[in-house]
Amino acid sequence: MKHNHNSETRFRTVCLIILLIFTVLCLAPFVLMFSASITEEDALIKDGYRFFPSQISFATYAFLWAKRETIGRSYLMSIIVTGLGTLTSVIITSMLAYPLARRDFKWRNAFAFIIFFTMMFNGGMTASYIIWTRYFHIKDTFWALLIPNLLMNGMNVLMVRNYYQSSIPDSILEAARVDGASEMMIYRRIILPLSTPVLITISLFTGMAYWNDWTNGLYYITNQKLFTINVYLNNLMKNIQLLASQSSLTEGANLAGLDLPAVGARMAIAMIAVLPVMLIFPFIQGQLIKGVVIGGVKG
Amino acid sequence: MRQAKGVRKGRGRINYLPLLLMMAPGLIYLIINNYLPIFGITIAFKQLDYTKGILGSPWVGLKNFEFLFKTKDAFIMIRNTLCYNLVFIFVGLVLNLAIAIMMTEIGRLKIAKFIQPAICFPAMVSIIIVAYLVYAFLSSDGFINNSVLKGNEISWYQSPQYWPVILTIVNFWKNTGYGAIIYIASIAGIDKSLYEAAKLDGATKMQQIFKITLPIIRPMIILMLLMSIGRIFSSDFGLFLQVPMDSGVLYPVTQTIDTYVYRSLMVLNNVGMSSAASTFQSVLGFILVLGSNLLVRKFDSESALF
Amino acid sequence: MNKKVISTLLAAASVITLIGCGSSTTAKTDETAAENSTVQTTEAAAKAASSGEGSVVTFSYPTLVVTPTPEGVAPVEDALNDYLKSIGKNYTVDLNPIDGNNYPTQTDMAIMSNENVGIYCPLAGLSNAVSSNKLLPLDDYLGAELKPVVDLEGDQMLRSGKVDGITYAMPCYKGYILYYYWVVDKDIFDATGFAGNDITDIRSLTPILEKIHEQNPDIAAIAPTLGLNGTGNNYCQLPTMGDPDDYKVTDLGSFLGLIVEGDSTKVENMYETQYFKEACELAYDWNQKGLTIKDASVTTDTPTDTQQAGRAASNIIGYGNSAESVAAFTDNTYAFPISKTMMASNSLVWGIASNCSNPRESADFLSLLYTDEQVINYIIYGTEGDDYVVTGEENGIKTIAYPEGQDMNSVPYTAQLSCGILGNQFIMYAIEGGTSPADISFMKENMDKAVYSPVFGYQIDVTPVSTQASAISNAANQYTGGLLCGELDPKTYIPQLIDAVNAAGMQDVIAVAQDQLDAWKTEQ
Repeated sequence: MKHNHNSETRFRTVCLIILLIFTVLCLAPFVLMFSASITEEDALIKDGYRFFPSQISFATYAFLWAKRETIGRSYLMSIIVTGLGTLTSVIITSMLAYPLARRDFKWRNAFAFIIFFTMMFNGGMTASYIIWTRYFHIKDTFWALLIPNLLMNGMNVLMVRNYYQSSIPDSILEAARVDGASEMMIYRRIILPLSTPVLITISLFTGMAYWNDWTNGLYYITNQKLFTINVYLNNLMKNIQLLASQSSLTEGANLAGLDLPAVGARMAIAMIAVLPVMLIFPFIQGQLIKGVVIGGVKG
Repeated sequence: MRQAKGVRKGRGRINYLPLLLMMAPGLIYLIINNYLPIFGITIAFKQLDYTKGILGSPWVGLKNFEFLFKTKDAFIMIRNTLCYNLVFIFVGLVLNLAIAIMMTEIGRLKIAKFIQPAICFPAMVSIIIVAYLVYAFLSSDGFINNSVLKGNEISWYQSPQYWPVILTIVNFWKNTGYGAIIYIASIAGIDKSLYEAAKLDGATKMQQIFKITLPIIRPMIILMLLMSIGRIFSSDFGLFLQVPMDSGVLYPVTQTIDTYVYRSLMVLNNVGMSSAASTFQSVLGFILVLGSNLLVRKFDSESALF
Repeated sequence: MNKKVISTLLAAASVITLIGCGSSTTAKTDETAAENSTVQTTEAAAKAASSGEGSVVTFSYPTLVVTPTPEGVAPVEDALNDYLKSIGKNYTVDLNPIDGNNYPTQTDMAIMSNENVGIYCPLAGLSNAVSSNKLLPLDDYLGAELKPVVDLEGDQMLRSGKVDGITYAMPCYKGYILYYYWVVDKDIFDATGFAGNDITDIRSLTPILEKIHEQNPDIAAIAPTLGLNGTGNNYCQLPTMGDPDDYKVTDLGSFLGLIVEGDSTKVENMYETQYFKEACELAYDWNQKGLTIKDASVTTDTPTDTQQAGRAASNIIGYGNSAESVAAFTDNTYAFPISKTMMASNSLVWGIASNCSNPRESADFLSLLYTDEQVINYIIYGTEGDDYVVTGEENGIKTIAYPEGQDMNSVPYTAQLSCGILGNQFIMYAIEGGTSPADISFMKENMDKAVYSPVFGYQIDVTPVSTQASAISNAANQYTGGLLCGELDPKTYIPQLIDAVNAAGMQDVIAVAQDQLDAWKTEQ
């Protein structure tokens, strides 16, 4: 036993060291990003990216500060869309996954195939656009950010199904059914509470997808008031790039007087886009870790 | 659901109605979002005419597919796509599992709550930003040439031989932490008493991993593998186009189907051709998954996709 | 098991059939919608003609960096509509500004989905828009509604809005003539001992750059120009290689590498020409002498930024503005012209979407964008007082500024950065910090005496050879950046590039382009 205990501690230490090294590798670029975003534009071009800025300047943040009203509004929009979208998504995903995990549900494989098929084939953006705008009139509405493509994806459904299949013992359901619980009750009282780890996982995936998405904005939104932060920042960055390079579009517009911070802005924009996620992520993932420590249900 | 020993399968016929009702919102969404627009696949075989609409546009047979094959780059781009994906899928799986197992191992430590989100951060940075960060390391005056290689600088963006390794590293750096989440969740679902029992029997850590952890999460592993196989003809466009800064000299090792399509259509702007490319990727992926799934079914019906 | 698979497949198939039905309904709706719209058009037109009842013209235009909100647009739209009413127009206008980044996607999608796009600019190219039927032919309106534009721009200019002899669009009217300037740091240039008149063309820069390098070994003598849309970064663009006073090469689409030289109408492979070879050799020579920056082919820093940051002493940049203005754009620099372009091609054109229900009114409004000072300035600058204030007049052009304490980001409405995209640049006001009235006059003068390429207006339609074109664009991408930045030895790589584009089907594309060009020529 003692020997066993020692080897476990050793194993744990090795794991910790490897993970710490990996963590440093994952965080270093953020330091670089932040430092680049506060480096003076000229110094950035001259000396390249440095972990310690040679000349500090907050010009890029000042440039973005001038747009604070738009950025603030976009943040709010992002938070609402991400929150609402993730919540709805998790509910409909898990409700769709539960029957598929039931061995006694005869059509489960047929449905699984129908779901899988959507992951492999799609009609493309044009067709999707026509359906959503012509029949559901979501163009330039809040719903355009929420519904197309992001609300549910087959991968998450199948992941949840797999989790149910392997982690929730049939015996518990059997017992509940004997007690006369309805399917909905079983789902709410037993399945949902027992599947926290996988629900957190798909919340993370869905939440990230919503937060980072700019394609729905690209296709469906013209009203800038509805832009989410990533739609807005993505457009801003591409606009700056477009203006910086000479093209037929910009000839004639006198851009020299504009002095757009092309290089530093990229990094500042990236910082602004991920900051909220970096703040919220640890809380959600803390729950996941908690789940790991507590462990699954006894079979 | 995990089957407890001694419980018979189902007790008589179950009532399907409640189950179908539960599935209804999800299924309706799939029908509207995924199945109604599926007529759009026909764009791959058409010459799009904006006044006639998708269905009214004239058919052109397989003409839109030609550009993928009538080039001497066809071999290179298909080879690159497949080889990178094979490495990404299989080495990636091992790395994801390793991270997940190590994370659960240190789960009790306070620092785990810091490490876990931190290793997911790279996945949140857009690939364009990643490209600039990589550039900061590899450019002529970048960190690597300035500090490590002082005196024998390497012109990275002109040297194709290094890029398979660079792209692989960037890919794993970006995706490993994030990809491990699903396995961490799966491991969290394992009944802890199994490990206690194994410990009492004197099983070592490695034995616990190979005898308990991996077999129990196998269905999840197989699901993730099958899905990656479905995308084996596709590639992360940003990784192969933006990270190498679109450097022409590197094309022989960075050209994938997606970058080729992008470069072809950047100016042509032909919806039919881009649609043809994605249909090509989907159909091959679909066939591969169906085949793999049949195999899985044969040996391990519990883990099959459907 | 097989049975199951088959049944699943059948299930899937039946779903697909269902959707098949669904989609044919869609098609029908399409047709009916189209029919309805034509019916509506004629009805509306008839109504408008008889009772003077107004219809709504939609105007979709791209905005850059700042996109006005609906609240910002509303007062401008009202003011514009009041004005239209006051000049006796029987329609109103719906302004639809779209972020420039989303513009091509959103307008295409909207036309496909039969939404109102109205007047719009096919940024992906006219021949592409025409071959996929996104634009209405405008021939019916040339004699009436669009007559003022025809008179203003002249037949030669209007050629760039034609495909197969049919007019689909009106070219944006602005200063197209570009000068390529060598912009160099004052102190560094003065130290070399060279004088302004030593600079005649791009080749004459070599000894000066060498001297700069000798005196300033720590910085690059010259920074590369960024290529757009995969054309690759470069030191020497084709127009800078020709005779500075009499440069006559027409680029028929740089991505394809097709050009026409001088007065001939023979389509040539650009990569085989002397111009291309010289450009690569010059860049290679500079690179070998250490005059250039490292990693030039992959840098994303603009030449102006690179120079301002003190990483390079000079750069080459194309502007429509005069040398004095260009020199003033950046602190402490000289700008020396090294070449001037002719009117070779123009892709900025405005047309009417093919699903438009009131083309006649739309054509009328389109024409106002070129001829009515009030209209274009409402669209570019918004309303006086709220969005800008008038500060004076210079060269007959009104000068304006943002209201006290406001800027581009804070005014309720501005489309200032679209001034080079919309309508007629020469009747726009000059905003403080933008193009000066003097420069506007300078550009106008250049336009008036512009030399037109003999093939101006011909636009290649690559649809018949799209397979080859895609392969060529890939093959060329692989080499051009490296060659034009001097990183690849032209002796080895130009032959490789030529082989690659030929293998990709260059001959087919040239043959098709030649046929099209000959047909176009006979038509003229």
